[in-house]
Amino acid sequence: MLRSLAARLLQNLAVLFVVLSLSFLVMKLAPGSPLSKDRDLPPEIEAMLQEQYGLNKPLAEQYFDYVARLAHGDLGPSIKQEAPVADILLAALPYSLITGLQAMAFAILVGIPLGILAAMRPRTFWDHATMAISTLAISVPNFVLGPILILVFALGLGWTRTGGWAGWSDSILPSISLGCFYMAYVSRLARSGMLEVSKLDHVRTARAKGASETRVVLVHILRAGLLPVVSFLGPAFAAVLTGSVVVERVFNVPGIGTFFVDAAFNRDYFLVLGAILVYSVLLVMLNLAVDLVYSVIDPRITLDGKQA
Amino acid sequence: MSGSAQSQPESPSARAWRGFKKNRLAMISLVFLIVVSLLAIMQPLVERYLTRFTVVENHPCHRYLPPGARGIPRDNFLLAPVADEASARADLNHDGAWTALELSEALAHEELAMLDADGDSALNAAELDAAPRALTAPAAAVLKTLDKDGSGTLNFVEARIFIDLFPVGEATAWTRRFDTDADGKLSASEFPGLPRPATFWAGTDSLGRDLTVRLVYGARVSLMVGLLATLVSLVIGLIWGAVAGWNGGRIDALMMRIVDVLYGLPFMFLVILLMVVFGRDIRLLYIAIGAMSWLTMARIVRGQVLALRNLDYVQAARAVGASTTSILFKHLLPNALGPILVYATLTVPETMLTESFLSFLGLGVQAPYTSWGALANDGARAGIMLTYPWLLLFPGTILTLTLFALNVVGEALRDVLDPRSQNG
Repeated sequence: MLRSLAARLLQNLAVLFVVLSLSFLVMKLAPGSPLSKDRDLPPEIEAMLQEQYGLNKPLAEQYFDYVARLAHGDLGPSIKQEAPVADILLAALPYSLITGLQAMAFAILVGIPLGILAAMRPRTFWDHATMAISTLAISVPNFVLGPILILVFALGLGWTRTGGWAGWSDSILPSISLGCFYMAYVSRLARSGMLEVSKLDHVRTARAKGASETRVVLVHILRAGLLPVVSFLGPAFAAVLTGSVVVERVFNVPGIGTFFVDAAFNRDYFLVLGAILVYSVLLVMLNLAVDLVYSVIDPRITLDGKQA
Repeated sequence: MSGSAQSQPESPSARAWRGFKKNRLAMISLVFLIVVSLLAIMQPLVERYLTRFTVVENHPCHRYLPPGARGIPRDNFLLAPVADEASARADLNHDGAWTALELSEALAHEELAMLDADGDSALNAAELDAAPRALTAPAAAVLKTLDKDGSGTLNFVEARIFIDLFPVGEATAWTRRFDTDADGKLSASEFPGLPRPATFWAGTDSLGRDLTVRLVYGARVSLMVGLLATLVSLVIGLIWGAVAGWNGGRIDALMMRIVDVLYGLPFMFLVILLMVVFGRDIRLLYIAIGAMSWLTMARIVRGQVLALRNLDYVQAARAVGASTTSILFKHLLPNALGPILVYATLTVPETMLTESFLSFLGLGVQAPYTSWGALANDGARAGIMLTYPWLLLFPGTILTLTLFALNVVGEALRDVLDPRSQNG
């Protein structure tokens, strides 16, 4: 167990390294520079700034400088915002995390009960209605749902503000528009997983023994039936984080996604790389956590991906 | 089914189609998708003969008009016959020639007459209510702001802002085209006839462009990128999965491990980065989206190949000396087609969604061309949403409906082609 965990961590480190190197290369191959955007700088000042940020060095040297700094835990300076990248991202991270976690909570807490409801009455009106709604919810892009929620709840009813972030109430609409897709997906996974398990022998045995229907569902079906949901959570967290780029834009949330897109447009190299690094680390950790949870729930699965 | 037809067993595809037809929602979705695709394919014809307005033409005087408002198309306009009574009436000073001012005036009068149901040459609240262009505000509010003389109705002068079909600026540009002797007016020999208005069925945007034709053009881009990106992901996934599944052993383990690892990557960010950095090239767009969507396809193909390759008929093909390629393409792929087709169908909405994401962030196709995501982005601005909701609701609804239809069709296909699969 420990050994496979260590192997996974090492592997993930390698992946992070590859992602960062690729992003670095893409950024550097691109036309344009962080200094060329807004004003025409006198050549000597531009040279000085290039010197200050190390942009005049050969590509390989810049790369090794960056990696060396990273190894010391320094994400470098933001060229546009004149602040350390680490500070900017640290300030932005909570907004993205809260939105993402609430979106996932929404997806799980609403999606699983819906799936159970549908699975307990298969091929009835309730089943069909739940599944049609969830297909619809899967099909609504969050950048369409978000503005519609704003239109109804902020501009129409005046219950919330249209955007920005002054308190927790400003996180409700972004979380819902981000989580809606996953809520629907979770409900379908829960339904099909439970239907699959309910045909198995141990469930029939439980029924034959005279266990109550509630007990059969909650004890005998739910645990195995929710496995597909659990294995979906890793990729879902990943997608929630990426999806937050758009939702942050819609609701003016000052999260990492917003900084990432602006920084990419501005060629703010270190900020872009820092944002990608933070996202990748989050993804990798989440996937690892999900696999851990999975191997606890289903002992047949081991951490190194082999079926025991 | 009649008894005589039973002599030949039903082919699997015929059986699948029969099963598919039973799913009413899926059939409706299929018809919807066919209609949308046909419109998208025939977009040049649509703008020539149906909307009359082209994707790129803008009418600065017709900005933010609600659905149903009318204007004069710049290129694909229709003309009323010269002998028409209306043409004669348009020549206000009866000098046998038409100026831009006269044309503008005449068409405004015509529009007033069209909205004026009771024929009193003024618009009352009920008539404003019935007019599609009153939608921006309640009729009473419109009436209150525009009714300067307090008569309770809008006369021609007061309603001018409301009925100005052919603003003088546009009329001048239009007249100049036919004014061969450049005397500033159209003589009887130059006058081609009164231009006929066309309707902005879905309203206009911030530049006075017709939203209907832009939605049709957006369908073209969104569907094409979705299909091409799916094709890219299909090709990569097929090759990767087939190689891994066919070879098995170490190669398989390594290739699938790579897929596992790639699952954990923030692909979306790399695509955003690529689009920002290398410009908004549509080829880059679908290749990048396709390159991030092939992972599941590779897993499915690999699973199918792995399951099929040791079956007796494949062994037999091998024993008679069939080459690997011929076994793969002739014997394995046709039998693995069901799940592959199903997943490919479900990949289309996914790639379309990614495209619209990127377009929403301003990274898709370049203006003045557009896609549904870009249109939704135009309509989702804070100041615009409430006042001009059609700019968000039309593209948002059509995009959602299309994705919904694609998902429904994909799931119906799965039910008939791949009943054992249980994803989602």
